[in-house]
Amino acid sequence: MRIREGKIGRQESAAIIGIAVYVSMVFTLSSVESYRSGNSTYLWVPAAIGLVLAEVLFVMYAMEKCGISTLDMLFKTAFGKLFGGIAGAAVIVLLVLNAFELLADFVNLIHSFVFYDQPYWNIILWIVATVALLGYLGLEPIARTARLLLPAFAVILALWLLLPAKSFDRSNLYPFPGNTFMEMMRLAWKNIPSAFASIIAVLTITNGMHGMKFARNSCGIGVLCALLATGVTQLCLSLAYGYKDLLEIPYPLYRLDMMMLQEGYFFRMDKIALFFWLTMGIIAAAYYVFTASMMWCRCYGPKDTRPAVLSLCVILACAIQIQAEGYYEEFAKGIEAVDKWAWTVMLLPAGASVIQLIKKRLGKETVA
Amino acid sequence: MESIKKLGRILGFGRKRSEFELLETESGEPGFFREKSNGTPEQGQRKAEVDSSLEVNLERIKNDYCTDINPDVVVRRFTMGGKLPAAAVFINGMAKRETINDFIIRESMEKPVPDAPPYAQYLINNVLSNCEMSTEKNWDKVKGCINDGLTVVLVEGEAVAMVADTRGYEYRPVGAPQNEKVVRGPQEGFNENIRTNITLIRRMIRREDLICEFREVGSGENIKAAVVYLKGTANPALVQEVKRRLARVDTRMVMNTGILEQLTEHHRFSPFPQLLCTERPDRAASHIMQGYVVVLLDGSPFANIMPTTLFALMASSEDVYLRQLPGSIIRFIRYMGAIVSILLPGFFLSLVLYHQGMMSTEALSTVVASRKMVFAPIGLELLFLLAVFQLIREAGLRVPGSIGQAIGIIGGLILGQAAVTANLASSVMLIVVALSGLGNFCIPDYSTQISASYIRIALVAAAWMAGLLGVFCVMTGLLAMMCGLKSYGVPFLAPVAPKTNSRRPPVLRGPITMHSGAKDFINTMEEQR
Repeated sequence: MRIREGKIGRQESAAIIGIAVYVSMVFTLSSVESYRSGNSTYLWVPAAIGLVLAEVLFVMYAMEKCGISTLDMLFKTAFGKLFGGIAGAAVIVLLVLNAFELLADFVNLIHSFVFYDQPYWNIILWIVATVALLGYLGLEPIARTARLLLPAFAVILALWLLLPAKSFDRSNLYPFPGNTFMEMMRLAWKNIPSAFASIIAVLTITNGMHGMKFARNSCGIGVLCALLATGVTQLCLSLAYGYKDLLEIPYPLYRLDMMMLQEGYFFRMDKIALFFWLTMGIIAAAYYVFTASMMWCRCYGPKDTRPAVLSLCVILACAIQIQAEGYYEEFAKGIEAVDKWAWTVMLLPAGASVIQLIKKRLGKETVA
Repeated sequence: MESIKKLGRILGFGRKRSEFELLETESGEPGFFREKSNGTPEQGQRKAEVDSSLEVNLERIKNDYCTDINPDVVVRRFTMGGKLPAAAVFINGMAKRETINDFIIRESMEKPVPDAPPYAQYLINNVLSNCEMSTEKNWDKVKGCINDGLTVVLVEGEAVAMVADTRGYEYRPVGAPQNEKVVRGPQEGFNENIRTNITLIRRMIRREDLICEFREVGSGENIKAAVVYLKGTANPALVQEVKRRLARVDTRMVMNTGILEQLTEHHRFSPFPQLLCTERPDRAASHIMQGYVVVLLDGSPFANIMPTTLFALMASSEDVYLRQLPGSIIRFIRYMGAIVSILLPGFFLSLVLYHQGMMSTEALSTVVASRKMVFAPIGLELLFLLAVFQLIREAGLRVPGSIGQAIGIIGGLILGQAAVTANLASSVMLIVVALSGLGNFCIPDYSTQISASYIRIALVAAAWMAGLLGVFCVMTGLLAMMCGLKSYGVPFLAPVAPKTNSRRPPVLRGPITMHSGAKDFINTMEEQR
């Protein structure tokens, strides 16, 4: 059956995790929310990623100590079969929500800047079909595609951040650090679920990463690289625009390309960068969808991830269409509510790890 | 419900992932051989053995070969040493008459034979002076020998047939390769004779560990294949997998390595070839030295090299004959050509049709001016030109050399000019298609050229429908498919994705010292040592 992930190496694992973290923490940030009372994204975004990394490393440590290889097993051994299944469902919802937010943002971005006269559905079909294909093919193709394209992404990102360098102005950072410490903590906490989903997804595919030790190394390398890239990107944006300008720019990275390059030859190539970001988004979304399907299969018994991948993609396509067209207010409110409480999912693996460590210490249970 | 089940079957839900993996799950030799080709109709007869009665054996020959209406099969009766009735059976044209006359019949008639059985070993040692002789009991194998051009000698009272190698059929002499031409390098290619092909390889690899295993392929077991590899270098699991796949071939029609390729590959609908096909002995030999396995088929002037990767398909044997810098530059240009061939038409169409803002005013006005009188939509125009290009190419391939060249010139120059004058196509679009066609010819492997053509058309269709969005989505999907593809257990994009320990640059040509070593992603014995 298709429950086996295949095997991916350290570079592929780091690439997929890094891309997922970067895309989730750069493209899904709400400008209105993030720059409302100042700009300190270059501080709190890396801090949020670092916090999540610390938690996931703790969970990995606990799992390794207790001889548990995957997240579903951790939930089941810590909470029991029923509550473990419910905890697994919560992680699935978080992963799917992240994929949804990412794809919805990209659909909106493409619709706003490229195909504004086209119905949303036309854009959604192309993007979600590609996500479905990648998810259907499995972890190996997703991770290898990420590894293959990573140098291109890195070059494009470096180019796009360096070309407008002459327009950077340090005074745009005023007032430093932009927000109060409490405000930074609040923003970091609010946006933590995006980073958390990217990193916790690793725990569903540790078998495909040659075990927990390799997964931990890959995760550490990937997340640290993403943390650095995210911090630099946010810093470049902060140097280029004051926070009052940023408040009114929905997709600042794309706008950075557009506004800063208009005098140069590369002005006409801004859309190429946009489609490269889209490719990153597709890879990250496929990773979320695949790991959600894997979690579903592990928790609830099906032996093939592919039906789950296709089903999730159909649901995603419909949800993005509903969101984009604004059909139902209740839907948007529902998504908002889930988003609001998404941080609670973070407590589940941490709690399960603590329980397992206590159980191990008390000698009540050891899992081989 | 039934339709849902059918859809599930089409999508492959629930199907076991049984693909052989060499790189990641290296776990020794596959356990069995010839698992699928059992239960064939010939199974009952396979146990039949040669009878001790000459008449019975000749009656069998008569029935099996229908000799009364099939005069090709010659049954020559004679008496050995003046007292022992015998017969030589061979196929006219496949066996060399002079050899049969001089070393079998004449010798048998003149020399004395023993009075009582067993005769076979005595006759081979003392009477029959052919250089290659053997005995065979199995009746099916006896028939196989006759079919292969050998001569079978049957004697009264002996339940064993003596087989003499008297093959002497006509075949094309070794000539220059037709499709893989090089400037600096050997100018000889494989021909249709498997023996000659093996000799060509052996002449380049004069080593005692060069193994050449013969297999009979197909349910008829009438086609001979040779599995050639370097013992101690080639991964034994890979060799076993190749042999297992050959054994699984369960059809009679295996006339060419192309058919064998289709019968042994795993991903039937993949647009990319899963093995490398070459007509150059030097290329086959260099791959064998690196730990690959080569399969030769009797009657086919090509060798199948397995496994393969995209970078192997993009390499030419000339790359290593040139010095490092020119070799690297040529290889780089080849890759650029391939990229232009695949991406240029789709990319250009996207810009012109959807993203005019990405083009300069001058470029856009040139395109608009050149399309002023063209009545067809630009997407249709591009597809039309691509189809015409394919037509010219196909026509040029199928007609004799000089006429083929003429068709290329007529098609390229006159037809193109006429199409522009008749407002069927614009000159800018003609240049785009010509460039992409030229780029396509940079790809050394013919199957990969065809794959690139399909991908190009798919990208043009996607660009026509959704501009750069379509191009990027299709490219991402194709890349993912390439990343998921495996050729005999080796990822198609190795050593890049997955990254392996190989330090040899995949695109540019590394120093020649790097090429002498085995490749790590095929996990050779050399690597394991």
